[in-house]
Amino acid sequence: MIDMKAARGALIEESRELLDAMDAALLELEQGGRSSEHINAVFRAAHTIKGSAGLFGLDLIVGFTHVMESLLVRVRNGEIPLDPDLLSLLFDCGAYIRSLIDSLADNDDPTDPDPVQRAGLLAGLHACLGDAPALADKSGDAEAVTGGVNRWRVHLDFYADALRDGMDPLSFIQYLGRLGEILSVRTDSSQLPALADLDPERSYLRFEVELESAASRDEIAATFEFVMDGSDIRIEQLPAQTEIPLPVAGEVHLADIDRAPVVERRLGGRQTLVKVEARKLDELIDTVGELVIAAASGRMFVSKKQFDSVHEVMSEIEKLVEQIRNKSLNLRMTPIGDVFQRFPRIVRDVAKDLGKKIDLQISGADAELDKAMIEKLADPLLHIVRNAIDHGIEPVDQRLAVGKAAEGKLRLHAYQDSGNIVIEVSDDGRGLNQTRIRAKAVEQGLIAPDAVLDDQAVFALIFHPGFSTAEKVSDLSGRGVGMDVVRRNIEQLRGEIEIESDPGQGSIFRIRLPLTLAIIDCFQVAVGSANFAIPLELVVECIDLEDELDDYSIVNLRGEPLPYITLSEIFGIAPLPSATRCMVVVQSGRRRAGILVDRLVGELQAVIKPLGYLLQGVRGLGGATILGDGKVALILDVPALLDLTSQQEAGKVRQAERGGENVSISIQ
Amino acid sequence: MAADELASRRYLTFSLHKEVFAVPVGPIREIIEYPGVTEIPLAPDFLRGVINLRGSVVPLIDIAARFGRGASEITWRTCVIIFETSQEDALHQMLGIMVDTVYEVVDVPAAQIEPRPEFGTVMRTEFVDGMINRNGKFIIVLDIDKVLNAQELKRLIESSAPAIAQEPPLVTEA
Repeated sequence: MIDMKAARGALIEESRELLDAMDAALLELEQGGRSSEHINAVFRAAHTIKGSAGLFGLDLIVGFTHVMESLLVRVRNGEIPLDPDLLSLLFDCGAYIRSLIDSLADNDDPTDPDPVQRAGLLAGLHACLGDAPALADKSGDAEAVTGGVNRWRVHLDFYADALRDGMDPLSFIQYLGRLGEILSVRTDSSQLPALADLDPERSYLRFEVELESAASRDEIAATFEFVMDGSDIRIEQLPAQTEIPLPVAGEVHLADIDRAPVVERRLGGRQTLVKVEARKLDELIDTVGELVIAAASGRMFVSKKQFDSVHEVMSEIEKLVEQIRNKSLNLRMTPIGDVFQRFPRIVRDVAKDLGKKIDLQISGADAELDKAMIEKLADPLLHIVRNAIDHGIEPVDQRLAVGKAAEGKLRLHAYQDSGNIVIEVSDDGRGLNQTRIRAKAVEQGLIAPDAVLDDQAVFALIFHPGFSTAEKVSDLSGRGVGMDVVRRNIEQLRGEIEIESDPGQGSIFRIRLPLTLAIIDCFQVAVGSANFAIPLELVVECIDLEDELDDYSIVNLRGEPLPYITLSEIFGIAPLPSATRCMVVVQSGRRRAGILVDRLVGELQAVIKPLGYLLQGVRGLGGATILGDGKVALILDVPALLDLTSQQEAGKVRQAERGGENVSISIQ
Repeated sequence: MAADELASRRYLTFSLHKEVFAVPVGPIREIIEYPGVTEIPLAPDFLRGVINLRGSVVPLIDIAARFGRGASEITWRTCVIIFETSQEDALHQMLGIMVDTVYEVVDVPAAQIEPRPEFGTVMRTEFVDGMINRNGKFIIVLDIDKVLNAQELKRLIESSAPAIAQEPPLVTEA
């Protein structure tokens, strides 16, 4: 028995990908005019979604995609022109199917998310279909003359639910007409029950179609690909010009075979499946194979007491385990293009709504990132992109007035940077307005009117909950929800966000993320009897301190001043008196600082363990990991630690300025 | 309650500072020897730190300190009882509590469980679920969901380390 839940998950996943592909193809069509390749891509998407949905009896999807498909067939054949209106309609159809798929993901029994929209779209599709000339005769005639013509008899007995699944027998017969000339169609109504028992959505009629066509048996059979299951469809070749009577009714039919019931279970969470390249999986399995062999030879050497060889095998095993770790983590890696490819569509829509012209450039889409992170990244990126279009890029007339090209440039760019992935969203719009942000922040009581803030600090204000400088609230942004959510989401991914902005020149939002959430390389340090791990990607260098430290929390690092944190002080741990003090120099984003510890222990591969609900609120700690001896070591959250220290110091300074005796930390 | 009025209930008894307590066995996952503990910086007294329970990081609570009776001393009989909380926010969060000695599991007929007294237990009354009369002595039954209330513990942990546990930048003068 197939696992229906998993299969449904696959349907959802597949459909989303197909819709992405469809959007991409439609965009190409919109920009580059008609191209059969792209029309085919759109058709394939609709066709495949319909087929898959049919397997699950998802009538809502099948019924809709079917109409769309009929239209696309004729667009493909050049019978219906692909004009901008039709493109728009197809875009909307795509969006509607997406909402259907989303509702399928959330519910067992998909309901129509927007019946009004559905009716509107269907009416639009039918209008396009209706305007076009009937297709059967025209193409049929064309084919019939091409020699090698055979006569076929096609017996059609559709499975009982065919109509309910959106499989209209009539359209199949019409389709047959395109393969050749239909000589006759006979309808066998012997299975019709009494009117009182008749189920209007059930298929009772059988057909017998006589066809004269140059097509092969397989080509004819392919017409019925989607209804083959459960239906009784037979194709016979007739000797030329012979009449054969209708077959006797009442043969065995497959139509009544029970279709597998759709398992009614809610899918847990949005993302349940990960697609993995077969190559990656094969490599992993090969390595596991090697490990098995190494383990066997280890056992052999142990039983023979050849301990030198055991040593060798052990190091081999360690190497393999490391490889397996990397390869299995790699299975979760997906190109970030999976998120990026949604944007052309979104940007197009947003720009259209706002009457702006946007040229979207995407680069670095093949940089890979943990699948779980990609999912969580989509929303924050969406916010930033919408904001950029809404607030950043000016309307066309304003752009022209300041001598910029009418078309605003928006760029999505991803690249790897020392154990991090960096995603930049940049625009060439008006940039962030520092004065206005400041004014707003003062008005909202976030900063003192005379506070001295550098650019970064001013920009950071926009991440505050409820902060918005937009004078008018638009549908898209400006409601003050958003940027704080963006920051929170990114911090949840252990990432950082920073902003660069030049007035009049545009802004860059730079998101910096670790490649994966599961395992990180760390540098282990000790303070007193406690062990801490610092993510290695943040460590620049380690230095032994020979000089005495003075009163400032600043050391001289090759002539540069470097502020530092004394871990024992900030964490209230008694340092070992005898320890030589060491400094780990860390770099987080643009900030560089030292962390003063008692002892450097060395590198460590940390499998990150969450601290759990109780300790969520503890700042300065990013998680925990288990050391080789089974003890727990805490992983430092360096950016939070730096924030913390600067706050503490600011607090102390203010206390001192006020002449307060109490120099303990109190902020707010 | 009414349904198991007649049935007996199972409790684990243990001692803390020479006083005997009981907890229902339901939420108990296991009892382990006192393990190596990693302290959490600037944590309140009742949070001894975190331990490694077969690869999971589990907070260790000193309930004597939680009851305001001073930190427990660690002896060779000190044990850790691992609970799994069923509270909404912290579903399946594991928590360890350290106790001086673990005694036994007892079946107590429901009729023998006395309602909690209004005072006299020298601890927050909400922590007390009732009393068991055992061999003429009273044993306090703890309401473990209250004692280990995840939200309250979380709040206490955050507020005990003011410098560590506050919202980021946005420098303001109060």
